[in-house]
Amino acid sequence: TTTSMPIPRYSLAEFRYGREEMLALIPKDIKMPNCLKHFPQLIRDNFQLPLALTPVTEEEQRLWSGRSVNSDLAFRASGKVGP
Amino acid sequence: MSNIAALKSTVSGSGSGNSSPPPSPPPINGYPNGQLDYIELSDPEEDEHRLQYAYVLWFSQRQSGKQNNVQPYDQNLKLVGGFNTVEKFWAVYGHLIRPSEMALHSDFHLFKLGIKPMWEDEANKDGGKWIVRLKKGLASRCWEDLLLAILGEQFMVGEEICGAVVSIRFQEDIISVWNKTANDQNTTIRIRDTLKRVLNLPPNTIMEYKTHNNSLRDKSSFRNTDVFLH
Repeated sequence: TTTSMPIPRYSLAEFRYGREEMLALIPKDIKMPNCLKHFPQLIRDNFQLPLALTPVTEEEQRLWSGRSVNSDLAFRASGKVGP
Repeated sequence: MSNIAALKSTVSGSGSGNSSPPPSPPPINGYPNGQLDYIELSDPEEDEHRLQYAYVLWFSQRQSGKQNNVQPYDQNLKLVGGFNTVEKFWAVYGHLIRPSEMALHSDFHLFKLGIKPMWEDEANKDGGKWIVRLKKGLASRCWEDLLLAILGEQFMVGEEICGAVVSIRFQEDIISVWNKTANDQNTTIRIRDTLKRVLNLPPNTIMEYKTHNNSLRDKSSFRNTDVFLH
């Protein structure tokens, strides 16, 4: 039998986590790492839940269900007129 | 507590390759002019979950008001933090603002420890990146999904992934995934397909690939790309 594309072989990582596992491993007591304190413009004092655990907003839903998720500039780069 | 990973490196693409020894004691978070950055990661605690690689998060922002920005790119790069376990990742990520809240012309860069987010880095010089240019309003969720997939080793391309970038720009936000070997088509296609899947991108999404060599040549990150339409 022939396949059109050879199946590449890669060594399997020892430490793998699916999305749900990553989300299940959010610690209960979570403190801000000291290194972040150097970036007041980037930080939030209180831990924010990941977006994966927060509902999609109406605006997001509208954008995702539109004709394309790409920006207009992406269409210009692709040589297409628009979505 | 011992340190398993410490990175002392000059953050410079060309030129000063041979770094002079850092003055002691090293600052916790880099030097004011960005020439040297230093990070220490503690050993994972027993109840923590190790990641396959240690990662470093960087931040950059173009200086406003300078049309011809003479300041070199690497001087704008700031090392924000590092992590080597799932738990430490959440501590960093959960206390940061979302990409959508960042100022125009700023970027988050997540790279494996030891790889600088620069075209010239040894791990990047033969590499390239996939680019997805998004409408405003989508980048935060995409960035989070991408981080979870990279840290969780969901791309299944061995050691090919170098890092990822989210770039906040005028009228668009851009997500990029950097890999080591630009001419390895099996790998780049696999990364593209995985990226599509983990970001839930619709079938008609435009994706672009650009080698870092070409970026060096035209000194541009997102222009003159190879466009892939499905």
